Amino acid sequence: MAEELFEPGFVRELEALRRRLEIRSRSGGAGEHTSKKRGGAAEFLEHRSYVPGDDPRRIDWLAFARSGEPVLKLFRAEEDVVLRLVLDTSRSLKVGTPHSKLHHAKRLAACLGYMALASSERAQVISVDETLGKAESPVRGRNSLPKLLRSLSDFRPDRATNLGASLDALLKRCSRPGMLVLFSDFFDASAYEQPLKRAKLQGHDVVLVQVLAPEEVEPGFEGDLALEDSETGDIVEMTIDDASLRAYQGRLRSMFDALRALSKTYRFSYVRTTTDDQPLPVVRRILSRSIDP
Amino acid sequence: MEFLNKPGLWMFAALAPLVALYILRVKRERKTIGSTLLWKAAHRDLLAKHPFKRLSPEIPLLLQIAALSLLALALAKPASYSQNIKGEHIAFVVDVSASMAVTSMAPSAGGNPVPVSRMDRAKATLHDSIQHLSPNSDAFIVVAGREAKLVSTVERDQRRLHALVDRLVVEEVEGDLRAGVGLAFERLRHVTGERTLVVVSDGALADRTPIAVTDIPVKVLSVGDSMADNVGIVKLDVRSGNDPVTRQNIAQAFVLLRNYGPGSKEVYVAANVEGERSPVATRKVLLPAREKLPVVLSFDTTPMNAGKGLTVTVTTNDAFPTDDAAYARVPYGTSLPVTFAHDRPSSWIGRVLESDPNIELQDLKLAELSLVNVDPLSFVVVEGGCPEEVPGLDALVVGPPPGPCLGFTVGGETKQPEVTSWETSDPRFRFLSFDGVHFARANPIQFEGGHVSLLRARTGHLAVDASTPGRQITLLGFDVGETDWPLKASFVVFMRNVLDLARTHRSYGTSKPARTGEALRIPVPQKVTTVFLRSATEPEQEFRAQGGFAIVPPLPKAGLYEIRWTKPTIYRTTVAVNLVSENESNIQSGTVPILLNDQPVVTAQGVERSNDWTSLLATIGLAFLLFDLYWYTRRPKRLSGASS
Repeated sequence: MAEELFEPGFVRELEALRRRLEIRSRSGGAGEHTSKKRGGAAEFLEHRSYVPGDDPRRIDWLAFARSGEPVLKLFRAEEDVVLRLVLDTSRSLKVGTPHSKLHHAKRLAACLGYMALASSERAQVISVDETLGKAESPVRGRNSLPKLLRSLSDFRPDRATNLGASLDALLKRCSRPGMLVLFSDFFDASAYEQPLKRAKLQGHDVVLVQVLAPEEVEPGFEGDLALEDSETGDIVEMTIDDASLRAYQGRLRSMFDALRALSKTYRFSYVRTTTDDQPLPVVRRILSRSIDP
Repeated sequence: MEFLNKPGLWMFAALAPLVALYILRVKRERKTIGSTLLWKAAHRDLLAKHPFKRLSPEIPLLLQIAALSLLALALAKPASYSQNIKGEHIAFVVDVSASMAVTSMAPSAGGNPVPVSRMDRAKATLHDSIQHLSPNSDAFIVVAGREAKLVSTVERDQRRLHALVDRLVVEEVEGDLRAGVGLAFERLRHVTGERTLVVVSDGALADRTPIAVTDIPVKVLSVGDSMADNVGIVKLDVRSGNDPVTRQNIAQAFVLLRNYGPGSKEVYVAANVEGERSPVATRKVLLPAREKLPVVLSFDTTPMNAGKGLTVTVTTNDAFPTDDAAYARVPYGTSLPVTFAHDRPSSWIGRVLESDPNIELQDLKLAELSLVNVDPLSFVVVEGGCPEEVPGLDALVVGPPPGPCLGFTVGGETKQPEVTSWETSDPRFRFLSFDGVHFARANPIQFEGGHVSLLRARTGHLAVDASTPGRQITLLGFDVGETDWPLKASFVVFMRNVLDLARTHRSYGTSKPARTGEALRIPVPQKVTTVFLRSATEPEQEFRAQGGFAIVPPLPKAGLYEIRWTKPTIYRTTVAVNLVSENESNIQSGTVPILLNDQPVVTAQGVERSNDWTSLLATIGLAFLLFDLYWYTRRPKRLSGASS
């Protein structure tokens, strides 16, 4: 994957874009990113009067000497950030042209991962399907890029989907907030909206990337078909005609609308892509925090 | 509305499998997709678990049901009629003349054309009319053949009327529609209420003189067509003669052919003698269009074939086969058997008979006449006596003794009677005169009315016609030897006339050639009481004979009939019964000339189903199928999909 994705030209594009990678959530740990929290880092922020309960070690004794008032010396804290790339690895992502949806999601995740590692941020790849799948340890630095890519390559689409349960498990494990980029087709009957709301409440910076195959957006088949679900094996006998296509399009549009409404309400980013899209424009839309119509 | 092909309605059964095709699940191609989540939600029948789905009014199904129904109805040949007969009392007059046997091709239920006769069409028309009679109507049927006959009493039961119609047959006779209409009119005239006279005919009438009817509404239904292409024998006469070269007895059949068609035709005319395999004479002739052509067929007559049936046929493949054959008897030769009974050593009459080379003379004593077997067709001459019964066919009785003779009374002798007049119109006295003939003595014949006096004198009748039915008997009340008549030419002429008449009469046999539809009068010996008649196709029938006659009811079919009797002597002969009619052979249909209150009645088509719905329904059904085909093969409208 590394060879086919990270060509010199492509890497230059990513390098240009990586400055735009803004991770709004802080993990709470010490890091390179300034925190809104006041803390004990080197950069002075202000003095504040001592109140009982404050740590007496933070009292500025020189100021106390000058003013006779016990004041605390406050510094701006620098916090660590983490980019969590959550990939839906259910079997429904096996389809797609010219690549599978999972492949397309991996490419986008690799781009984002590269940008984070190049910026000395931590990046973590996690797979979700029926449950929380493989969760690699966060890595940092350019040197960790091969490990990240290997982790991505190891993901196999061989299980069913339950985004709700798997996201719940993810949030329990990753209590420290970060940027949570969820790559999925969202063809899931489970209630994944609640875990996403909870992620927002936990401080995660949520980005929803809906990966679809072109034939899912505009089915190119017609006639009497028995449609088999790649995940469950369910058979749906359909006569694909104008009426059924119109009904399907209506259902698809409703799903788009639901995801957009969710994103607007909770300030998520929502990007929709198909497997025939080039990754860079999609990455730009992700970085620009857009909400696709 | 009637379905002419009711089995066609079975096609409605095809609706069941058609609907089944729509409720049975379709065998579908399997296609794996990422998720069926949206498809499940999109389609309402995803959760169906039954083998049948709910029947929804899909356009193709509706089109196919409509097409199938229309085609089923078309296959059943629906036809509606506009021949409702109004009235409480209906008289159906059906033309059953020979031309009603004319056939023409008509489409059958299976689609192939089949020959349908005009009588079949007439029956269809009658069935239709009877079916549409109002419930309180009664009807009767009159058939108009050579004579009009009432085939039923007044009937209200339509089932019986239908049965009567089914039994109608064509008679090979020259029709007389006037008699039929007259009979029906007379019967309707005496009933009150709304009356209608329905005439069903092909319009090919022998007599086209208008038939006048008053007051009773008349409906004329024609079952004819424009078919006129017919070649037929319109006259046949068979005579005997001598071959001018060989002097042998020959028969000559004079056949008159007529071509009614618009084009000339080459036909074969053949004569076949009953019992012989090969024809005795054939001719190939070219008949000009709409022309008559006489044809003479000559063949040798022998004692073996004389008197047998002769069938003359013309080989033509036309629609009216009845007139393609005519029948006659092979005539006897010119030689006439004569039985001469007398007791005189010398006789003028005997000399005449002996001098005629065409006479086979049988010379008998008077007493032998009742003892020997005399040819029933021979000419018997009795001189000087009067037997109680004269055998043979024709007879001449000369100079009977006074007293009763052949129902007459021979009077006493009168001297030198003077001839005052004679019957010049009688063929026996043709071309002769009694001027200058003197009678020495004679025995005048006395008789009452009912007979013809041939020769009259002041003292009484010297010669009378003593003919009985079928036999020509001449009674002369004088001895020829007592006159100077033998010295006159008129005596020879008289004998010649009598012998020629006997010869002609013999050639006709027992009965003259008869016409179909006419009663057959068969002269038989006085003592014959039972006569049997049969033909090649009909079983033998028995008829009573009385007073020297047997009356056979009109024979409806042309052909050769054998007549026989067994007592007191066994005798068998053949009678030819013919249609030959120029008028009847003209099968060109026309209007039926009936005048109702001096106004011509319009002739309507009887069996032309002007409201035949087959074509229309089939066309609409096919249109539905074509639209269905278009519906299935049309390019689906592409939906504008959501952009990614």
